[in-house]
Amino acid sequence: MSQTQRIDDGTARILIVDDELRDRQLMEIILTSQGYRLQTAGSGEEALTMVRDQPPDLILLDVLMPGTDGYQVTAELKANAASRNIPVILFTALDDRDARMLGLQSGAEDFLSKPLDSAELCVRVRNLLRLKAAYEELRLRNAETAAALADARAARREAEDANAAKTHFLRIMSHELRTPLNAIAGYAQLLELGVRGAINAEQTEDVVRIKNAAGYLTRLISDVLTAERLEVARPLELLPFAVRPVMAEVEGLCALQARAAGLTLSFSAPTEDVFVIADLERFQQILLNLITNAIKFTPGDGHVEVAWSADAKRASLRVTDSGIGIRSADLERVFDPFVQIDRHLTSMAEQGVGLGLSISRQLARAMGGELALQSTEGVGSVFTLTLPAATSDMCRPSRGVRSQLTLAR
Amino acid sequence: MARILVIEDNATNMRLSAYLLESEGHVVLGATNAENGLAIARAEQPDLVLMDIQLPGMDGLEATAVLKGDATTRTIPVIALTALAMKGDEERIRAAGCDGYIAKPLAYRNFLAVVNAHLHDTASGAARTDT
Repeated sequence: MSQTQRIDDGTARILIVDDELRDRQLMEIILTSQGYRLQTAGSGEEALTMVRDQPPDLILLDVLMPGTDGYQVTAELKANAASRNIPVILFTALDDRDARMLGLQSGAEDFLSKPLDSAELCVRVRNLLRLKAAYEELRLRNAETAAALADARAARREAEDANAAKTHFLRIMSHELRTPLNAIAGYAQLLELGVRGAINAEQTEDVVRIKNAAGYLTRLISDVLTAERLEVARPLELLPFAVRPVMAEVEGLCALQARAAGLTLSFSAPTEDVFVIADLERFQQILLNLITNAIKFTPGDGHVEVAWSADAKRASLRVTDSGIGIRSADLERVFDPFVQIDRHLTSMAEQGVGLGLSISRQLARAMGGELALQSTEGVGSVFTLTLPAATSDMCRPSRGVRSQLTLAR
Repeated sequence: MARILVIEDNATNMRLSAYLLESEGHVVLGATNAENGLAIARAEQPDLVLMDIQLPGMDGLEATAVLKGDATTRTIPVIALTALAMKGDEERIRAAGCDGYIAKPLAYRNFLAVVNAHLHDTASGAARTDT
């Protein structure tokens, strides 16, 4: 046996069980020379006690012993879960088929005849120890796999629980916010209707402000629920329409905000009007989001420009600002839900929850278009919305721009 | 004009519905829980019920099922007026027997349109002659 093999098996503990001292000593000499650690027992009973106290890696067991014989010891070892996997090699002077069969049936792994052949003993011991090591390795891996699987299941269950808790929380928040919102928006409408008597022009403006704020809050709840896929989005109504009249309305809605921020907001209409196929309300929502964002992140004296053009297939609408810009590392992140780069730069009143661009891009894609961003930090940003182009003859002349807008964030 | 029963546990929102309906000339009956609402519905036979869904005790879904299971109130249209406005809510509420659904916060034009549509259905349905 080579040096390496001896080191491989060298730490194994072997229990020798034989009622004859001479035989025990002989085996001890042979196996000690192989580097194994040895224990000896003179009877079956003693052997069983030793195995219980300190299980060895292999047992060499004489069959013919007074008291509990080798077959009985084997049967008992194999009946016990703690010792079942310890390999047993039976020894006997009997060299006939029946004795071998009895030994194997009692559960022994191998069988050797006396007088001992030392070379055969060493090879069989080594082989069984290797088998046992392989088996233990396999059992360990199985246990690790099972543990990893259990961990993965537990993690998944935890994630599902957390998700269910979040859904539950959002459900309650939605309900609890809508209840007072019903009163805020409802009473504002009541005043506007004049149910409580006529109100003057300034009071009407105040009421509109209350309604707009309530509308903003309602939309916010709706946006959060849509982002969490807890609210059914209204199906898209894709129709061809002209861009210019929509832009005129959007300009009216954003002009005040731009002026208040000290910015120049310009709309560069092409000489030939552009027609798109889109959901009008969603189209307006995207534009308002892009323009109000641009105003938010552009310092005073800067400018925000809205321009649009089209070729035969695609219309593209660009919102360009001279604002703070976005680091290249953050270019895609701004489209992730609930992400707000530079949140600290906006005042509390202007802050949303970071859903505007995420929803805008989703909407653009749902309408067969795209929302892209180019930006240079410190120079400004260009958001480009592309949509399928239409032609003027596709648009019904009777179709005007529905005025459903309230001032968005 | 019609007599409308509003079942709503929030007094502020109850008053709001009442103002809006009264401004249209309707007569409003109120109940702040489902049990009282059911008693009033049986006794007064209103032309329409506006039902909040989350109510203390019996909820609006159960109350609607009771109204729709009772021969004396079965034909009264029930419109849910609720802050439950998440995915699946409207389907669940309609499946419980509500004839209409209005999410809070309400928009008064839509609110009155839905109410009028159901009043009109009832009046033209000849199932009831007292409107």
